[in-house]
Amino acid sequence: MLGIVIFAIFAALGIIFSILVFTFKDILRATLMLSGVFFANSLLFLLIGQPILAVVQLFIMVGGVTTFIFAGVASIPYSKFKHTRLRLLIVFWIVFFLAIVLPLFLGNSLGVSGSEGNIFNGSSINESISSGIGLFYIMLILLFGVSLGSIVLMKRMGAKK
Amino acid sequence: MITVPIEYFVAFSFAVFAIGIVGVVASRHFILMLLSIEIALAAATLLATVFFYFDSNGNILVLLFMIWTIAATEAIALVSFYRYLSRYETSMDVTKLSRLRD
Repeated sequence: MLGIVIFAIFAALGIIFSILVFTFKDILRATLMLSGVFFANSLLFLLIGQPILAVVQLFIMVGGVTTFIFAGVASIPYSKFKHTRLRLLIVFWIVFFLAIVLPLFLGNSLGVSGSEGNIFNGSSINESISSGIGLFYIMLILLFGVSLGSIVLMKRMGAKK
Repeated sequence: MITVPIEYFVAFSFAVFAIGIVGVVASRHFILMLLSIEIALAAATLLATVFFYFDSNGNILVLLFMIWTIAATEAIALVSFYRYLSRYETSMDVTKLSRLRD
């Protein structure tokens, strides 16, 4: 129970930081929030029981990558404009998250997996990965194609304005 | 030793990965698009480590260092491109990047 509570705190930190990346107009604060995502990620590495990977994640991602971006961006004046539609981000996020999670977690309900697996103890994940991997990859490829197409469409619609 | 079910880690990794992918779609800022790819890479790193922890067949470090190398290379490209664009006072809006040739 204690582990789940700690995990919930770290996961909430990670998700909040990763959404906050898109809320600020200037890149400096967005980069700071990105370092928060990496920090929460390294805490989760620690929770899994991989302290060395957590330290490497801190050194490389927070200490190296984020500081490099921060220094490189901070030395130049930046342009501010409304860059992200936050509502669109949230809606797309929920849809995309459900689309990639449902084939994995609800493999039995969708008829992907043949055996009876429990979605709460990990057995259905093993079954879904082993037997329904084809459907899972087809869905991911389709989603990836739709994402690319929507990027192109949105950029062209924005360019016409 | 604190034990957390694998599903929670998988769901969290998918959630952060989805934020990263959707951030590329929903954002018009060039730098933020690359930052969202960094978020997706971080989620992929965590997911690979979780599966290695629960089913340790093979060496995960090779994959992790590949991902970290890609992230670092992307950061270098990001900063150099940003400095190049800002030298010519170009906007970071990707919908206006097609006017670079003008």
